[in-house]
Amino acid sequence: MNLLWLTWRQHRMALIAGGLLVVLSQLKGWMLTGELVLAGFVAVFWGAPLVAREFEQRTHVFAWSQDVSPGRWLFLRTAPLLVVAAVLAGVLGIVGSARSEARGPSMPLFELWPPLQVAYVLFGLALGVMFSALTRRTVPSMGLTLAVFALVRTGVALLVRPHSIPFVDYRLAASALAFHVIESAIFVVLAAGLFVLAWRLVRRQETL
Amino acid sequence: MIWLTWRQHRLAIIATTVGVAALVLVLLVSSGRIDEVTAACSQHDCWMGTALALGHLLELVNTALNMGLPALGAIVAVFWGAPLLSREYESRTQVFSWSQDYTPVRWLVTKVALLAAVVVVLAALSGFAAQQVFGALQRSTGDPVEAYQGIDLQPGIQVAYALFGLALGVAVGAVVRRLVPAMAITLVLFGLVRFTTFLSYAHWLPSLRALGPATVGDGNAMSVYGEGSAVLTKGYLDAAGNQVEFPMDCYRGQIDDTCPLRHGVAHVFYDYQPFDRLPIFQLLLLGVYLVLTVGLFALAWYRLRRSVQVG
Repeated sequence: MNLLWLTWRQHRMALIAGGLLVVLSQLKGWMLTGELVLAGFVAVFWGAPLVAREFEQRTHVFAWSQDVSPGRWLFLRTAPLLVVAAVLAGVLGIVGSARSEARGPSMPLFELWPPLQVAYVLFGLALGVMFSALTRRTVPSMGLTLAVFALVRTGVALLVRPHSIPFVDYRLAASALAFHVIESAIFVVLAAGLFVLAWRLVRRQETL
Repeated sequence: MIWLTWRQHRLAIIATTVGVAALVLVLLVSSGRIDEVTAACSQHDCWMGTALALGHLLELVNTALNMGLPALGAIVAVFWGAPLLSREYESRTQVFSWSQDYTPVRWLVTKVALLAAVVVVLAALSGFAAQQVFGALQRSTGDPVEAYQGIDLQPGIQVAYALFGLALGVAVGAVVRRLVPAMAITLVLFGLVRFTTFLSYAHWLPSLRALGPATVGDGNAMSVYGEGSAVLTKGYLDAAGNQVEFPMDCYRGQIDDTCPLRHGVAHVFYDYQPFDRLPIFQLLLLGVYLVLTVGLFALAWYRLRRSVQVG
């Protein structure tokens, strides 16, 4: 409970900004902004500073010297952010899909599939935390996270996704679902691997 | 001081330079390729038109111009500008770097001048490459219709955008004094300002109005307002000059250009900015961004001087 309070205290700015982003993106004329940038925002501004800030401000000594081991500390710090990010992404995906379906089939619906939005955000957070533990410096960690996130997102979109996804033809909609599941799976697996890597990096620092 | 600036910012400088080099390369190679296709199509008459013959290259160029080029200013703002002062305040290293040979204000001026010099070179190069590719695109379509779309695709305005980004980041860092919030706020403000000027610049001068006979299609629109203009609004007038809705009945059945007049719609009007005003708008954009840049640098300078005096 104590740590949950600490998480809120340390990340309230980031959490409030993320919430605002979601609310603002529902305004007229800002269609799809939130859906496009939420995962990148979470990656760069929630994930990438997480571990690096503790090292830069030398507070990791305090954070880890108490009852909590570094590995457990990382889990307890990341889990609440993960849940909040996943909920925000899910809500954005559901609202975004509903709104763009109402506007007709010409909108790019593919990325709005709610589970895919959640997968993007999980991947973004994991990537940020991993670079944070790797570099232990905030600005380089944020820069690397941004660059790699943009590369992977575009790379997967170009290579895995079919170039013309059938939106209108219901007979072909099933194949769109298959591509949705494939792309979501790729990002979830990447996220899991990155979290394990981050956990090992942080744990290794215990012995340093 | 040059050595210190390089040591502290080399990662940001190298990474940004690599990105800009890739962007410039993509744009220049595409520009050459577009010219080749245009030349080939003028000799052999491409059955599907130049745009289709270019295919995926056109998508790549669009992505580079719409995402890659604006990213430079944003990256300079968030990763070069925002940490400059906020990191010093936060980690309290200002005590070290400012207490040596340099006064804080001189420290800031020297550092900003060195970084700004790099920014100018990078932005000018990408602006030049964008200008080349836009020129090639215009030659390939054969008319200057979309001239206003390329309004900021030139070195001068790109340099102004990037310098504005640097100034904004430094100023936000001087006010907020915390690293991550300063970076986030800088990103949001930079996006807002760029978005606002992009949407509003065509309204900075009063538009002209051109009248033409009301027809069903848009076929003769270009002869009404002239090539290369930017159209802001389009509407219909009755014989007395009152604005009216276009009669939906005229879309049904056979196309008949006398139909609107029979429904009392005499004219179509376009409010537009003519092609020859393009350089004026470019100067206005340049001026607005340079004034903002100077103002923000002054704000940062003022805040820093005060914070040092207070202690």
